[in-house]
Amino acid sequence: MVHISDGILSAEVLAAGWVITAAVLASTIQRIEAENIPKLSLITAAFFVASLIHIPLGPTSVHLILNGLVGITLGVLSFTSIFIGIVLQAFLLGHGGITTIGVNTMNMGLPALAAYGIFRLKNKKKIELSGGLAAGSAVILTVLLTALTIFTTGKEFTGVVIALTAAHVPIILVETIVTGSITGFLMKVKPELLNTT
Amino acid sequence: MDKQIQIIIIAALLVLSCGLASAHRIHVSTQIGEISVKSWIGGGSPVKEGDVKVYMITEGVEELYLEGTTDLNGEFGFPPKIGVKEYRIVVEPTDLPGHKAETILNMTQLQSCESGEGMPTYLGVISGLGYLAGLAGLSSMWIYRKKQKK
Repeated sequence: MVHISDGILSAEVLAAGWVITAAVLASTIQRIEAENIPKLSLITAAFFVASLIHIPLGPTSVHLILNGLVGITLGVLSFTSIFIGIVLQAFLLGHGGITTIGVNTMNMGLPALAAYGIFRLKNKKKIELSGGLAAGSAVILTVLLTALTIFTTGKEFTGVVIALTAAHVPIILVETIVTGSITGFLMKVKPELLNTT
Repeated sequence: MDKQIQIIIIAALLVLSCGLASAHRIHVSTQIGEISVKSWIGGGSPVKEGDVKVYMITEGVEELYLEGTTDLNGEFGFPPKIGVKEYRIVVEPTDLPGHKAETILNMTQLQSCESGEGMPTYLGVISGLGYLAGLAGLSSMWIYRKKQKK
């Protein structure tokens, strides 16, 4: 639902989305090391498939985003992962437009980086809480960025924010709980999967 | 008299037989029905009360034909205009900002058309995982070669 379709945004906004995405990609893609690739592929696969898990909500349905989990596990590489995932979702699943890949990556990738930042301030005793908080914040930030992007089309900002937030309350709750639990589990069994550096 | 009666009876039978034949006349009537549009969100939920815009395309020129909203089943119907062979139908859900779908309907091709469903979802997922595996392999090779050069 946070994937914006083609034909909605102006050329200026689309171009800005591509420029920001290209700039962040250029600065983060060089940090990929050979040993990160299996983890990057696995998490990208999870992000790619997550958009197919729909939660029925009144007249509509919303799907998981998982950008918070991507941020926690991949750190600065999360932006690259989200870019690849969004490209595949757009071309293979029809989620979001092709021209909006830049904007959609920006709207989901920047919150993933923010989730990584929040997670780094973690409370070691309550790692589940830190993970959940980071994931919930990532979804909220994604909704706000999407609303801000749609606002440029001339729609009333408050109305869009309310509509998108209302639709995403279940997703915020689900992702907070799921990512919090995954974080706690990974910390116990495979802490190296969490990006704690 | 017998001959006269016979002629009258034959004439009456002929008239009646004509009447019976006309009772089997086959009638053909034509009626142009409406074009029905159905829209739904990924996952199968219908686009309820979504904004619909129908544009008619004549010789490459597009003009707004009519506007409306989908019903609770995500359906919308409109009468075709005589002479118009192509329409562009745009549906925008009111409760899903940032989403829009459109399709081109060609009246000369008598079949339903669908947009946004390039391939079955399971094939999309399998292809995506395949692309990811390939990308992982290629990037590993690239990083390995880069290290070797150093």
